[in-house]
Amino acid sequence: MVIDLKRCIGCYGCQLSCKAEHGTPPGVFFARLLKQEEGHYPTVRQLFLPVLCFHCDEPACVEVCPTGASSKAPDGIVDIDPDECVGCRACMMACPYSQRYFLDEQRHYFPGNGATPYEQARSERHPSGVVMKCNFCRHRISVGKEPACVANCPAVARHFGDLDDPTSTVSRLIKERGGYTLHPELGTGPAVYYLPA
Amino acid sequence: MNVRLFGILAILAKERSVALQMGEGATLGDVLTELGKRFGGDFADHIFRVEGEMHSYCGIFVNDAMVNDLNEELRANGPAAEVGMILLMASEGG
Amino acid sequence: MEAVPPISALSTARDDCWIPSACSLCYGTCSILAHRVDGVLVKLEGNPESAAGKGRLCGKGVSGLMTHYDPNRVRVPLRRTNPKKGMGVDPGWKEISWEEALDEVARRLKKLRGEDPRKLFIQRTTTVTSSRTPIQVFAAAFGTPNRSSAGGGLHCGNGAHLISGIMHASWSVVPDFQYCNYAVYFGASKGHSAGHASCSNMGLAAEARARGMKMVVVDPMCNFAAAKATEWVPIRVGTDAALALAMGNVMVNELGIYDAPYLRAKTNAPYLIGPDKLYARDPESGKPLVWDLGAAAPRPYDAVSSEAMALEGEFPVNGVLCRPAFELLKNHLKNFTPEWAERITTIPAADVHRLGSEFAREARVGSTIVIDGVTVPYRPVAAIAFRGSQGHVNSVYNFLAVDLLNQLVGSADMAGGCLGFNPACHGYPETGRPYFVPKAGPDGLMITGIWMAHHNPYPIGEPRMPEQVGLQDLFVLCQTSPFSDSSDREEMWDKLDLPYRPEILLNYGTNSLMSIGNKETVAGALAQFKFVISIDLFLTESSDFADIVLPDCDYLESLDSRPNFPFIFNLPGGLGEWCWPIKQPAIQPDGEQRRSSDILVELADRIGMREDLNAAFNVVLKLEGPFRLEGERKYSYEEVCDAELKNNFGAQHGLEWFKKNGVIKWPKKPEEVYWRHFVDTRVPIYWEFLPVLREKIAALAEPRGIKIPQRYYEPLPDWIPCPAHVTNGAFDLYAFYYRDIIHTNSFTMENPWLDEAARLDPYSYTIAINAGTGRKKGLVDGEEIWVETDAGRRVKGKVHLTEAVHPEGLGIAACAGHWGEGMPIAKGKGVFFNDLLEVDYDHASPVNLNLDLCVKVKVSKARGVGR
Repeated sequence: MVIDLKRCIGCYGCQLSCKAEHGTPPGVFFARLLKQEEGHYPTVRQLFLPVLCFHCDEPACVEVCPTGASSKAPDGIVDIDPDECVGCRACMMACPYSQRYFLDEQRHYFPGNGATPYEQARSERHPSGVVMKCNFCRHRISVGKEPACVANCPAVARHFGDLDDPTSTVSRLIKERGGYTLHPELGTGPAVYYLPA
Repeated sequence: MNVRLFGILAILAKERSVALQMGEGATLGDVLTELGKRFGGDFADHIFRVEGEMHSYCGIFVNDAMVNDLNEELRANGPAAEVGMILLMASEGG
Repeated sequence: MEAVPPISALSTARDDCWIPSACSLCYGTCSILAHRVDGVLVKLEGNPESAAGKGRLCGKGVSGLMTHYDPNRVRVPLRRTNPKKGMGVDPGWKEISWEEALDEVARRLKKLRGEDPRKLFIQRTTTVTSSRTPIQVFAAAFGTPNRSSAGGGLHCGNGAHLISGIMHASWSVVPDFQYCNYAVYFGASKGHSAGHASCSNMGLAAEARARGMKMVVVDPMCNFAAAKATEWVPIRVGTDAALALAMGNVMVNELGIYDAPYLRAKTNAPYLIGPDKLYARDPESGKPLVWDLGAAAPRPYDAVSSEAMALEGEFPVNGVLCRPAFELLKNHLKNFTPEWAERITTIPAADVHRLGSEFAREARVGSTIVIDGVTVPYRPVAAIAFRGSQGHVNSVYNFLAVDLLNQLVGSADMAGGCLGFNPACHGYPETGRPYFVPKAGPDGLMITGIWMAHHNPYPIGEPRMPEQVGLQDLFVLCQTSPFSDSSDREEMWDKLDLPYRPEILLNYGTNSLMSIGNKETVAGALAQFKFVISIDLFLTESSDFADIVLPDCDYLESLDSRPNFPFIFNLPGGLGEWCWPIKQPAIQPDGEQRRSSDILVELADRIGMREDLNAAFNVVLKLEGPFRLEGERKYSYEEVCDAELKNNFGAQHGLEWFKKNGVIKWPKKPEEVYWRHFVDTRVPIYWEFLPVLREKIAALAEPRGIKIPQRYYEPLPDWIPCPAHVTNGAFDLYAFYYRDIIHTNSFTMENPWLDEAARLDPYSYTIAINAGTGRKKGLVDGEEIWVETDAGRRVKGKVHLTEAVHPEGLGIAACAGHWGEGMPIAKGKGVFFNDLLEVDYDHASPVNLNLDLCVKVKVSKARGVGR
């Protein structure tokens, strides 16, 4: 995936279309928007930084998983099998980007009112007691759609494609615009690149 | 010819349907002036922005079509023209 | 009226369908696809077929599900049992049947109509664009002129829409993102927040940014547009006119850069002005005169070719020396030096100078471009303004001074320049509808091709003794007035002999107690209504004053034929596609909610004004021929929508076609987008009608003790300070509010997804103060502070010390700080800025009555815990 920080306007569309696609519970964000201001008055910039699981080449989370629940598929997607996960959360400690989530118990968005029909329709995807994370919307890409956050971005700031194909949009953008990863020194080889603001 | 009044105009005139005898070549403007004479200054003020010009919020139908031009002649031959009038006085904002 | 009619099945066996419709989380009304599976809405996405949004949605749009499924929605009609009304006083709601509710409402309205229909006051939220037409026709049929958009109208539009209307024949303005190279934003966030054509603009602005468009954002705060700006220009709150006028001075007087042919042909710059500040007029025709350089004589403006018109000089007309308006403007601008502007705005003089020079040079005056084989002038600069700069006592001049920059270089509605949103449309090719094009009106000045209601911005109205509660028939340049709620409303009504008093309020979706100004003042106004009917999604703070609450269907349960029409409002501007989407229900309500359009039609029938309603629909929707509504026939709203669609697009494109296809679209032409080049009409760079208007208003108002200050009614824009600009001791910060991308008015804090995101945002729920300023005051980031005006009004909230605010600024987002129980997610979140605002004539523009939205405050630490 490539995220173009020049285009991003911090509308929370990615964070919320991801939430709407997966029905994640309160406090769980498979995609998230971070904001940071830089500089001193009057030379100030606001950085809008969307983050998500980076589906690393050498994922630390997979390495430490005792049951094999976390694995990296041949297409590169790092995913969790909730049936195999025992909730030890070693992966959450290992992930240097804090993109894994865990809930002790079910939580709903209208406390005291139970689950809305929408949350009921999505709740089985998020059992408590196991770790959960972004899976690049595998259910969408398998039918030829883009991940929800990519398809929805109003600023057209996100791209998804094959990094192994040098002619793909993502590969070309990284080359042409000087795409970079976050904290490459941590050594996990993130597969999400950022284009400079 | 027949004028049908709606909304505040009907309330001011206390009538819905007004039959008018207009001469050959009578224009819409003539009709409105006639109505003003019949129903008084307050009624006329609601139609005319200044003399000879309608408020932009005065909506008029002649038979099946909307008409804005006060100089438009209404058909005096054949069936009587049906004129409908309503004011859309509420402005919009936001 | 029956309950909501069943939704026709669009799928075959299993319920799994995507329904094209329209968002209503803000008035942008981007097109959506709603995914319903087994009777549950599970996803909202953009509709890629539609130019409105282009297949994408902002954070608010995708979160609509959580507003839809909010268990706090009102589900059944309610009636108060406690006769006492007050803020926080429990109304004692009792559930009643629809029959009982509608019967009582209709009875009361019918009785009122028999007494004096003007006693009905209607309010509607700007957020739901689909409410506009039903309320317009209901008001017209009923016979009341009294209508308001509450805070959404009072805060936002009186300046922006008036001037966008007079100068661009549209509701708002936007850079031509496709071709603009240099855009200056004054208190605006087009393409970086919400509002008109929001998601489409986001894509267009991002593309422009990627292409290299330079964006200069003039704003007290660096957020949204300023966050992405090439250059953020921090400005003292409310001083936009000073910067714009100084830029104009640099351009015209120092650099001598302006588009003389444009000014001659497309504005009243060559019109001769006498010593009385008015047009010199031809004695026979009354037309304004220009100086014909060829004939060396004054001639009517339409009798001379524009190349021959003088822009400068002094010429005798019947022995009286007159000057072209441009000469007066040019001299007037000399008063506004960059050094002077620095004192007013705090922007360094060198920057003021540079901005004026850059704008002038980037304008490429004189160049052309060929688009789709059509040659149009190429002026790739745009100066836009919106809510921020016009929300002041100096509302008109702030906005006008900004637009003057476009007029001076000829970039108004030219390629790359400052565009109105779709002022001209030649219609769907098969039918030629809808068709609207600006044209020349009195004195050759432009009349809009279409408007949102029927009070066109030009020609301006003739002031009269008012019969409108808001006094807009006296203050004719005002759209939404403070006088329905102000602390001095009774006094104004008495002085101006208003012949009645409002008695019944019909509220659609507004929370006026929060959206207008300080709550005590508005509460006083609400309490005076004898009866209040409110159609709502939730019980709000304003509901404490309602007698009957009717549960509203939300947008996912509603139907409308024209959510994105008129095109001047929320269809993207510039080249691309025309697009007409509809709104259709994706799901049934799960309580007894009914659609507001159906409620109004039902009430009209019960009141006995069906024929009037049909007549109003015919005029508003321009229904003609076989699609015209007849007599007293009881059309449902669905049938009216069907008639409109067929009327516009042909008998084969009725409601059923649109339900399947969602949108109809066709390509735009350069002749439509850059209409100004092709249409012979002018706009006023000299507002000659203002002093004329003042005389007329003053003649009626001043003998009755209401001052109409001349300073605001001069024909050329000027810098005039707000009350906040007076030095005031310890009250040393300019408090202002701004629109947040994650929230709409006071509505969306109840949405738990949006609330969750806002709680994680550094600014959404905090009070932003410059870090240096805050530290000097001994403030600590995150602590609770009081913000207080010299009138003793105060609000409390968490301070966020940030580099991204002007040192004198204090920024609060949105209209938050709910205290009511009806929206429990929203309760206690954010800060209620409006509580700082006075609502009276002294705190409004004397020209367009826009409320003054900046206020001088002091801050102090709040001791103790909690609120």
